[in-house]
Amino acid sequence: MSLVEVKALHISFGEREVVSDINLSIAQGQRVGVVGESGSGKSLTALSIIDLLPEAAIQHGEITRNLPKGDKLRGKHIGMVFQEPMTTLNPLMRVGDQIKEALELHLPDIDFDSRVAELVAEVDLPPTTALRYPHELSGGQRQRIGLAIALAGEPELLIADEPTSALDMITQAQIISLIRRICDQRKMALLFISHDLGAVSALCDHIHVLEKGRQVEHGETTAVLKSPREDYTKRLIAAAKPTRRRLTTRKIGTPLLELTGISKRFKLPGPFWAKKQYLQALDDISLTINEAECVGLVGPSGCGKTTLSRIIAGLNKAQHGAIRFDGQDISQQRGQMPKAARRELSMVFQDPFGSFDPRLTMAHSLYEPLNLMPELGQTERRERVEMALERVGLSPDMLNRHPHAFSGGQRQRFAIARSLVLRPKLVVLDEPVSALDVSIRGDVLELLAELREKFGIAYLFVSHDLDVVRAVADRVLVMERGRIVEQGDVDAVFDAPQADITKRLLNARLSI
Amino acid sequence: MDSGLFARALKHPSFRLGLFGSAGFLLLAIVSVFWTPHPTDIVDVPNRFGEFSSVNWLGTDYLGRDQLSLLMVGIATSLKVAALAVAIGALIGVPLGLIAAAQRGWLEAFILRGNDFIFAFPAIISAIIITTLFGPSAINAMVAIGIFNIPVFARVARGAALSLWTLEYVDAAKLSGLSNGQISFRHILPNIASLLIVQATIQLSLGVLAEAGLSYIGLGTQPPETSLGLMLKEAQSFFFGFPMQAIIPGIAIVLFVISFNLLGDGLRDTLDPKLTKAGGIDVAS
Repeated sequence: MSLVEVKALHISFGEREVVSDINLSIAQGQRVGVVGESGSGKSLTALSIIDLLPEAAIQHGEITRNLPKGDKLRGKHIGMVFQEPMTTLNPLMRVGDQIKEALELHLPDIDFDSRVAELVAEVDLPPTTALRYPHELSGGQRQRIGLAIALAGEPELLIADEPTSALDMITQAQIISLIRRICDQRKMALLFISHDLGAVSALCDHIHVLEKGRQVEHGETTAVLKSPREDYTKRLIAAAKPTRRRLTTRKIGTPLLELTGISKRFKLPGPFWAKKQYLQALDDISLTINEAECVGLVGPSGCGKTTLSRIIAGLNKAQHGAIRFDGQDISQQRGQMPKAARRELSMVFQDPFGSFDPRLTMAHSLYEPLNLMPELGQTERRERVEMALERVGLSPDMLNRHPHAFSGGQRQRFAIARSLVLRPKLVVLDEPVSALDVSIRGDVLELLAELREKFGIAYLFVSHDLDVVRAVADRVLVMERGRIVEQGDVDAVFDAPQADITKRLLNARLSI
Repeated sequence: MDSGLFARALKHPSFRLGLFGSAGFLLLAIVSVFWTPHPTDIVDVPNRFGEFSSVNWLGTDYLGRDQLSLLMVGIATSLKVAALAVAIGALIGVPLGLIAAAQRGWLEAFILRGNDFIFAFPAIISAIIITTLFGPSAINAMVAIGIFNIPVFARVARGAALSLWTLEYVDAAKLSGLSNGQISFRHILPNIASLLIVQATIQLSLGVLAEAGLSYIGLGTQPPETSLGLMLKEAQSFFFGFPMQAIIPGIAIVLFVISFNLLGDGLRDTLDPKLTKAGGIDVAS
């Protein structure tokens, strides 16, 4: 008999149906995964099981929970781990007390302190962690505490809603193996919700694929992954294994960008009388990017890859070192980057939603870079913008609309178009596909490869996703704590990693 | 502000009530410029302390002037003083806040410490200093209140602008070679405008109160002009004999301030996505 049985579940907000006809069953100790993109209704499905739907939601269908009657449902029989470890804990309470709070609710007759210590040990944290406040813990540690709280009521079912999306790759792999171990030990059922097919397949025996509120496919994980029946599932699986793209007609050229001995440190906040504390964000970085070359930059979070890419794009300044771009020294200590260099260099940001001013039309945003070329006339400007749009496969009549009218993928195309308006020689791509749903990632990567082939643009491709980097980059740089610890041809580095961090990053991959 | 937002705000009961009240007061003030039921500068002493009647709807004051006419002119004066004080505060404070957020460093520290300096003095004491130095008048009261609006607007503008400076579209604008000033006007100001509008309505109601306070202690509007605070002050001596003389302008001040506060609250509720999001789950996306 299954623990939870969902039959013909429909959820709607007013007229709009966001979940339609979902059937799902979770047996005792079974690990079930729900995969879908944003807006597929996967979170709402989970919330309906734990009876936490927002008030405005109207729910039809049958949810049978074979759990003891009379007790509280939430916490006691079903535990939940949320996505954002930063906001799920109360910042004013020691984390041990927050675990204790859950214990007091569900198991009032036990010795709380020893049980808290057991739970902290179960999620692989040192005993002293219980005395700390959330801000003293890293994201991964907080997620472990979140898990300990969910386990406090000894639930039969654990619901985990994107528990690893906010974490870096190495921590994600650790949390996933922890969840798997705990489920096995406690014989606890799991409902794991994620947009990441890799994470779901690493954990779950049964998988449901959702698209726009509908259940597209479900079955045994291995069966679904090996022989997907529906197009949508096939697309998801294909996107998780990005196609390899290399230059075919064009050759990699002469050095375009050369960094020598770039260093940057940040002053840490503290009282003015105390000894100054510094964080060495970049430590003696030297690198070269050639014309039409795609260089991948990978590393764990906090390794300095964002700082480095911002320095290359000219948004931040380095304290030491020289930058030569296109045969010209652009690392002046004072003043702005010269306009001539700005024209040749642009950047695409990670978040397609944050990279456009919500109050301006796309036209305003796309004409903005032409500010650097005041010598151009009105018709030339329009030609440039329209050509850039054409290159990314968008039409000029979309220009009069505001950013909110477009999907994430379209916005990222606009962002790429904006970076192309100036016809740059180098584009810094800061996690250009991480915020996109997997099914459109492939399109954007294909577009980038095509542009490189046609126009010989060089890329610095910053990403945490090693599979994507391997697919698109010619050469890869691995960073750790502000230093480049390993570099070379992407296949050589990934096939025979030398540095410890490269090995750890490669091991943390959740491939399907 | 787009029309969709206005329609959304209209559904908010306190916004509707506030809009209705504020519009009423504004209308009275505008009408008073062109027409009042009776002239306010003609003294008719035999007819003083008149009761409510069909000629003088709200009676007459201690000089026999029509109370309703005085009230209308008084509302206009109070509104003018408060509005100009808000304008002074916003026109100086908002640029200061934008500069502080854009430049950071010593300039920001300087502006912030300047704010603290103004905040360190009780408003009424500075107003007394200003009016002692330059003589009591509506204009000087306006300047005194306006100076206190500067740090309020500077803080709101800086706080909101700081969070916008970390966004990627601002980085994109920097990459396009826009100067900090251009970014502030093109990207930052339009995006914080809604917050500033809310702050302005709240400062407006505070300005009406401040003007009434200053006039009441004789540092604001001077006779023969009139304002709500001055009417209160003049009625004070006759309060036990003729309480309506004080109650009428008093009620007017209360309604005035409540209307603008409700308007500001309603606007803030509509504009602040953190307060409108229901249930904590963004169901729209």
